Amino acid sequence: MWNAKGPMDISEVLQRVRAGDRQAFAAIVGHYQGPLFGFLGRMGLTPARAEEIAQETFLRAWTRLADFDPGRGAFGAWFYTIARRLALNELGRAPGRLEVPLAAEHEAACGEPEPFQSLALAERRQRLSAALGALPAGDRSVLALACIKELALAEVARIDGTTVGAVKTRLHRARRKLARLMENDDV
Amino acid sequence: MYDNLDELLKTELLTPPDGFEARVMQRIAALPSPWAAAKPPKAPDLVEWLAVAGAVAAGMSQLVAFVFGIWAVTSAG
Repeated sequence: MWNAKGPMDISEVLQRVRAGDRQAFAAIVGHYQGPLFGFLGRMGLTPARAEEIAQETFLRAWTRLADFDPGRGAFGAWFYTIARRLALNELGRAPGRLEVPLAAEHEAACGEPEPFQSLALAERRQRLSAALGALPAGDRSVLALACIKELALAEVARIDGTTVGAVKTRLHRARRKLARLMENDDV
Repeated sequence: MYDNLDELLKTELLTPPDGFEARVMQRIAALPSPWAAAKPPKAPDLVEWLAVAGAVAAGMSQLVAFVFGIWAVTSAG
């Protein structure tokens, strides 16, 4: 079994799944669930919607696993292409869901009160969430993808269907706007 | 400019809820294998080969008729 944070041999996982070992896919779920939720959170989805989209992403990845061609790119890029499309569809379908205060719903979804020590973290989450929500969905998507350690800028560009230059421009613009929003919030 | 932007962007807004992996694997157990769902490549059948052979024969007869026509015209002149 693979460590969730350690390296994962995707070709070995695919071979095992192909041989009929469904449980081998759990390694993919374990490896990608953390970064995927991080991505969906930065996209502005509420915890409940994020869980739905995350589940749907893994189910689609499973269904289309035979279509994945390692010669055409890394598994991560293929996986986040599915996640990005589902997240953008969801945001386009229900933009009003962004209005839900993230911290409050996070608390309710977990079923436990935030510990006193993590109040600052909860506040920081809420401010970041609000600032990210003010960005256009396209810029937010590029920024959220760029925050995933596994993805190189070229892969972000491929997922976004654009060039590395265009991604850099979008990132610069998004970061500048985000910094301005956070700065205004500080005053 | 906001100085701690890089640090701030590292903040995870959402983390996987408890039991998420088990729920996903439970749903996957109900799905068919990805390779079972994918159609195997189909071997060309006899009808396809006959259609190609017929098209080739028709094309060749057209070419022979054209060459014969040119020969007939030039030899008559």
